[in-house]
Amino acid sequence: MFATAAKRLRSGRRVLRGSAAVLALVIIWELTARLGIVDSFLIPPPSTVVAHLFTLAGPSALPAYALWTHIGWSVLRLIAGVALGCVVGVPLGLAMGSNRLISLTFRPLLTLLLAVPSLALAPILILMIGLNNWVPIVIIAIETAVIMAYNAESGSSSIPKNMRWAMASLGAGKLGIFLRVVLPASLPSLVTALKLSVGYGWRALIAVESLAATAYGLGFMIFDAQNYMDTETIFAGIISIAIVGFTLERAVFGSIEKRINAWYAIAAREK
Amino acid sequence: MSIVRTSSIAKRSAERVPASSPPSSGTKRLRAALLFAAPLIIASAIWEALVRIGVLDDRLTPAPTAIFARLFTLAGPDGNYLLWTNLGTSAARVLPALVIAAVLGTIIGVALGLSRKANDYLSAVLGFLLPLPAVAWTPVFVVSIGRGYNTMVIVLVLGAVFPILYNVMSGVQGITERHIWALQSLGGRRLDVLFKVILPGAWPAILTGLRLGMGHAWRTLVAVELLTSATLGIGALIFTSRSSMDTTTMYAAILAIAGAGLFIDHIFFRTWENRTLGRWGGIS
Repeated sequence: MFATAAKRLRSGRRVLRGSAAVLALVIIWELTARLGIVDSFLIPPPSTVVAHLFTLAGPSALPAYALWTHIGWSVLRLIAGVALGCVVGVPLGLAMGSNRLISLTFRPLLTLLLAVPSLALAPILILMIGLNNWVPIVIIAIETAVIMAYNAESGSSSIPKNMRWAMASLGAGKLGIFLRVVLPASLPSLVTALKLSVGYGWRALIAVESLAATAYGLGFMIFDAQNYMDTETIFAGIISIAIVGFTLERAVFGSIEKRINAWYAIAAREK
Repeated sequence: MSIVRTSSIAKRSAERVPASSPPSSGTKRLRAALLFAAPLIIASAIWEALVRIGVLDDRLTPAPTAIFARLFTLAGPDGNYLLWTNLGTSAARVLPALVIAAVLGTIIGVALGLSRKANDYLSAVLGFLLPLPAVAWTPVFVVSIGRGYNTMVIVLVLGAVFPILYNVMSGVQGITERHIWALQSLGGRRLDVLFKVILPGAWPAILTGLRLGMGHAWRTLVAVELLTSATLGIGALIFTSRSSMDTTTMYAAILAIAGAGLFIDHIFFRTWENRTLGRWGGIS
């Protein structure tokens, strides 16, 4: 009773202090820009940036509703890449987890791929498939596939042997053990990997869009604005990237992760 | 590995693996190296064969032998030691950035770990900055301070600081309060507590943070060198050789980046980590 009340007070104070800090920062930024301490052309005040954000999102932007088109393309590329990566990475990882030879074969290749910065792959892909939407999608897919494979392997190889034995002694075939033991037991690590992939993919996407996007995408938007010294659009773009990234990583995939973990009661045991 | 979720189940099952006839560490390491190299060698042999037969276009995907030959040329006097010049230039950007990020990250991380107030105030701001890729800041600094060294270092610091900060924070939070009380009861002052309990106690976490931060900075480097159109640097080498359609050099540069990244992560930091963790195994 008291504990929950104290907890609520704590989280209330936390929100209050957090927003106070954000508000203070915004006011300082606004004042320094307005009073001319920093050049308001180079660093526009937040009020201007937010107003510009609304203009970009509205019908009077050029082209109309431009911001939403940029966000839409970026999210579409991200989701397509992550989906493609999962299709390749999850089966590979599960196979690695259940077979030593496959694991020994692919582990070095994955380690090497992981060490290559994603943007370094962009020139190769552009040479191979041309300058189009597939470049960012394939780069995100590679990154996702590596992360998913690693986690699917560690998730499925950490299943206690007696669980498999128990199923086998009850007469389950290989498929039965896979569907009833391996897949459910590695689900938490798969979901965590999915969240990580979205986070990493989002980071990679912004960089790749500067190089390999020709028309739309949030990354394209800010680097295109840089060419025109359009600082208002740059800051509006940064705010959008942070908000969309936060929403995807924490709100969408983070809550899925939390729900799955709660189902497994892993969160309670590890905390 | 930062990307792998380590659950308690995994740890327990890892401990249970029986060490069947422990060989000496030398032969063990050699065996591990061979096992690691074998699939890579086989994969490059297949690649080589495909290029030789003509299935793969050697202008788009040059044969591995050609790439390695180019790598050796670039590393030697015939290539004006270009590989080392570029790697050195990049290192001169990443290392100062890592030092700055380490200092900043440790200070903020210790503050966040020790003080609930600091945590309340700062976590909202940091939570907003965290999902923002460091690369996204590049246009701001390119427009305001130009495409120079400072822009690169600032963006690299932004890339490296968050993993350090969060690891230091959780490391500090994991310190048992009894250790602090013990020192205080012996008459230790606040600075004593900081330098004799908190920093040593959080050291393993700080090291992990440094390793991850270095990894992030190294990955950001390529993007930063591209976006600020640097002329020297191992990332810039990829893009300059691409624009002259010198794909062999491009692949050689990518291989060099991956190799250097692996070296820093697996050899340098892991050895350092193992050494400190081995020495201080009992702490926390």
